Amino acid sequence: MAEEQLVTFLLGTEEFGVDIMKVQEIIRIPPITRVPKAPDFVEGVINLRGNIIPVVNLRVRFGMTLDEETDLSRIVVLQVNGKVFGVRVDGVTEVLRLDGESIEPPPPVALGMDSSFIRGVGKIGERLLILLNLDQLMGGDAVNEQTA
Amino acid sequence: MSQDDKKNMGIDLEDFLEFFLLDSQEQVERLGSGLLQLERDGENIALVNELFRSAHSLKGASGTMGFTPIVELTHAAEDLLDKLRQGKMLVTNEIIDVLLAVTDKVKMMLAQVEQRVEITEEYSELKDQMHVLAETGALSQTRTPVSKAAEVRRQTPTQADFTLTAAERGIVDEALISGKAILQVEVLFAPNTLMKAVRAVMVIQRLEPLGRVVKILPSIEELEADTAERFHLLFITVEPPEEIRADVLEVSEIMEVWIRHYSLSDSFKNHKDFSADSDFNSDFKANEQNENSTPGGEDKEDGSHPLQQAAAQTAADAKDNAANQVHTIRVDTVRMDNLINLVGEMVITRTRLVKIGNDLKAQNRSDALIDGLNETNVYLGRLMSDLQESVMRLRMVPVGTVFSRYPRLVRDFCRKTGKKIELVIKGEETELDKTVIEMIGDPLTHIIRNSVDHGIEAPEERIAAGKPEVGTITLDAYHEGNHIAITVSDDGAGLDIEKIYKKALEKGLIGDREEMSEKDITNLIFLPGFSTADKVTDMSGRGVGMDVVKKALNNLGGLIDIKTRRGEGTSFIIRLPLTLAIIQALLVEVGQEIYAVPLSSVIETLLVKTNEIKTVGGLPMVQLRGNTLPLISLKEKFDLHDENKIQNEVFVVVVGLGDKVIGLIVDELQGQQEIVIKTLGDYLNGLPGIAGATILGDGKVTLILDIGSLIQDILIK
Repeated sequence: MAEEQLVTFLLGTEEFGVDIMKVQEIIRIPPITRVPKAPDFVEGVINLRGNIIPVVNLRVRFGMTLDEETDLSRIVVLQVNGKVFGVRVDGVTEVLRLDGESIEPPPPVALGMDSSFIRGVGKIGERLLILLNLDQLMGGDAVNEQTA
Repeated sequence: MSQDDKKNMGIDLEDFLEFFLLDSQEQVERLGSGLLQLERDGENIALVNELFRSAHSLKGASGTMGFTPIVELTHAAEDLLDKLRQGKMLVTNEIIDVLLAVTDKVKMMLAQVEQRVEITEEYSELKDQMHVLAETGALSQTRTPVSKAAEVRRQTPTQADFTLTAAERGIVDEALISGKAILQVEVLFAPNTLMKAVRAVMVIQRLEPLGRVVKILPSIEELEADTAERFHLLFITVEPPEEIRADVLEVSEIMEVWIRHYSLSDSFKNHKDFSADSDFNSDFKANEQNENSTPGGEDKEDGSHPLQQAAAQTAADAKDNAANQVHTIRVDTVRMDNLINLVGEMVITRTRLVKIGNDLKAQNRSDALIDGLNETNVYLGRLMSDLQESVMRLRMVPVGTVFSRYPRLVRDFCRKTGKKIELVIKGEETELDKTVIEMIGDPLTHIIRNSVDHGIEAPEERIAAGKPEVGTITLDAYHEGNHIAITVSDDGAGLDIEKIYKKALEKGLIGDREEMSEKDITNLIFLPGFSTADKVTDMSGRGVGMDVVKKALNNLGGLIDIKTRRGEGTSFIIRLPLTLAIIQALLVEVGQEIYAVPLSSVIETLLVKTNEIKTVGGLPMVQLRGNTLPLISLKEKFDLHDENKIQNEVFVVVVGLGDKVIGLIVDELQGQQEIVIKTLGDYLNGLPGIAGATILGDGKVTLILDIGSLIQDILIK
């Protein structure tokens, strides 16, 4: 892969990137309805223009501490394998292009989070960008355990 | 017919494919159920005729579309049925078996056609089987020479007696003046052609681009009677006769075509006084009656026009009569779902309007405009509910479409095992939401298999038990309040309570000191991993248990119940919601969340003092008019935050499905509202206690409680 175009966002002090083709839109945080018995990382569901989509709290998903919602908080609506869901992030930073050569495989011990979520690490000068493996975010085992 | 020919016809096959599929699938269904009936009746000439016609039209339609494998199969089946029809063979089980196999095979082929892939189903073996049966089963071999002779005799042209009306006469004269050829086209049907009128119309349609059809003899109506073996056409054209002949021969089941020039003297001879005024009038009338057709005289100017209209109409009538069709339009389900979604959005928008109206009213009591707004809202509400009902009705499908597959299932099983079972089907016309219909097929199949396999005993056993040798399974559907109930009852051995109990113990599904009522024990069969079948048979015991059935039905918002009596039989009662898309709901507030309870399950609401709630065996209960009502605290069930406020009284929503009733403890009742059911999406589907979600007037998402699963949860525990 030669070049990737990414949407980058913040969670705490870490910066993450997702493939721009998977991003459907970015919205402010609407009222979220909690869903009982859903996996804990699913914060709830929201109304996206008449469609109901689940929202993942990435801080919970990645085992980070929870933080207050700020003005910068957003939901990034993703479309992965035809299924739509949102992820809550602390703020969206920019859209950038990344050369394939500047992407390295995920380190074995990955920043205290489950390495299956990480597709690679991108380097832009001194900045480190964690590239997310979106298939694992919702489709991971946790959901199946809950619904089985 | 080759692909090129089809293009030449200027017909887009794709357009016809849908119709072909629908029609053929119907014919196959008819064949299948007819064969089952034939097996019961033994000899039934009328039925055999009907089957023959079904096979025949299947063959014809497939031929037109160029699906040779189906043609060959149905042709062989037709031969076999023809022998039955003529009494040359007797109905035997082998014949029924092989013909049923043909219907299965054709069904599979049609499925391939539907998927737009080439037909690859292997069918030569079946075809051979039918040929062998047709040969060996035939009682008489002398038929062939006789019919050959007959055909030779028929294959010569005849002279038609064209009596022209004045209008037709005028057209012919005009054609002569303009130098066009007037041809007399004689068309011979293949032996045993059915629906000759339709063939004739097809011929006319073929000829239409080449010229003008002036007259047809005998008339389409007479052809309807199916006695004619040929018909004549008077045709005006500039095309060479050879081309016309080739074109007409393209129509299937047309055996031979002769074309001669029509001489004017023919018409003079038969119509001497054509110019007389009185005769003109009477002819005109006769013509009109004869063609049973178009009002108004202006069409008479154009001689071919009324004829074709009449022909087309008669053919259409014939088709209608033959298939006894209901007038329907087929609509893509996607379009229909769109419509339903739109109506759903409108319902939501209206609730918003109502809210605005009420808020305005609260602010400004005396404004007449606001009263007007609210009145209009009420009226709009009525319109909306009518509209909604009409739209929802579009989705309703008779449950018979699902039921129709079971006679075959039971029949095949009986043939395999020697059990004797009669399947009685009732209430096929009961309508259910299309989605429900699509989803109940498999669970029902499973239940029926269960009844067939485990319920009904072998004939010897039944006789020994003093029961009729033939077991009965009854499949019934009927309305029950806001639900549809479907029951599968057998008069078999009934469930063996002890065996179930032992089995459950063995598998560790229950503790050995647990005390259980008979009802509780029967419900154990719905636990995952439970199966009492001693041996695995073809029919049931494939590792799919009743738990799957229960789960599937719960997903539909349904409930399943068993009634059984040792030695007398078992009934499975399924209760399903009428519709899935828009429902009335009671909104309740629990721990600052709002949930929607389908109103169809709500029996009443109570205000209960907290000290009246007693805990029995870990479950909260309350006494209600002498009965004990088990309660569920939604707060605990859903782990909702509680600010520990001490309440002296709580609201209890009493909900029930069938005869099962429980109470839900909630904080507040928010009122009743129409809601549109939406799914929670792929990721969150199937969460316990949640049936789906809806969007309220303020745009917020609210979850809909799954009463069926809540009840089953608490009562089975």
